[in-house]
Amino acid sequence: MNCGLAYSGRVMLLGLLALSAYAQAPKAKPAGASLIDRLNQMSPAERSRMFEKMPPERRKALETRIEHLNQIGPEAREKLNREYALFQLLPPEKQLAARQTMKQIAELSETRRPMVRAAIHNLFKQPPEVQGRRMASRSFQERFNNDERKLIKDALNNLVPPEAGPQQ
Amino acid sequence: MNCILKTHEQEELLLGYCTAVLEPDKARTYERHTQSCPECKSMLELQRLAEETLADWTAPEVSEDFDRKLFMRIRREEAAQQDSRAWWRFLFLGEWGWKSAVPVTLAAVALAVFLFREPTNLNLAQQGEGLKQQGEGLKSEEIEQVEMALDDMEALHDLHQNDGESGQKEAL
Repeated sequence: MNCGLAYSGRVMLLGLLALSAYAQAPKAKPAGASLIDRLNQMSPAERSRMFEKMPPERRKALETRIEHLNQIGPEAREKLNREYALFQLLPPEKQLAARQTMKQIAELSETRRPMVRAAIHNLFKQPPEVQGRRMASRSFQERFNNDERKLIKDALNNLVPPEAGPQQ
Repeated sequence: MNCILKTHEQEELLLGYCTAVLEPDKARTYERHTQSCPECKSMLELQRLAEETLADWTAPEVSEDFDRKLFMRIRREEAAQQDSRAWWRFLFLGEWGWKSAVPVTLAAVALAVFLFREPTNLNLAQQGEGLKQQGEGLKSEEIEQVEMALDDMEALHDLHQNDGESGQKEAL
């Protein structure tokens, strides 16, 4: 009797917590991302109606970009959604600074970009004192020029730290 | 004038008087009252002291890596939440008596009712908005929102691209 009641209580508690957590989930979704989700849930005809007032070139570009986003694997997409939700939590001026930093990283040459990105990733995993030591080390100074070192420092200050594990 | 501390009526007068937003005649009435009411006088002095203390207080400077530390902490807490084994063990294997299960369940019901209210409205609003838009097409500001979200998501995706071992080794 006691055991049955306690078990029912646990099951109810679990169910209610799961439902409330599920109900809370949409609150965290930023407007742009939830619009993309809604567009993805529409049939081609419905989606076409959504875009009907847009100029053809802009519409084509937007559709292509959404397609590219949809090609990201589900796990990486989930991770990206979480990164984006955290990014949206930044105050507007920090978002702007982060956008500028990401743009500068994207504008690096094909050979330098992976190195700078990897340095940022590695440094993010370290506590601040280790970051400082590494960035002051001779090997770091030799590998990265002044602009790149500044960019890496800005990235550590402005960007949301990436999640552990590789992104696809 | 009755003492507002005793009657608990018009307690906003005290705050209004302290912040100098009270109408002049009300302020005069209250001032006269405080001269004959030790409780109100004492409360007024305390309120003034609190405001002076707050005025002198300056917020501590936020360190440069505050955001980074904050996000690291969010990550750690998310990771801890994902590691739910202890939680499941507690729920299914813990020695709960039925007496403890009942209030916990009732509390969960109350919590769920509270939590459900706002999202339900939110979902309905979203659905209504969605249906409306399906007839009209996206508005220009919504298109901009989508484009901006895409800009940010693409940039974040590019930033966290796995550059493979070579990039990692080269970097440090």
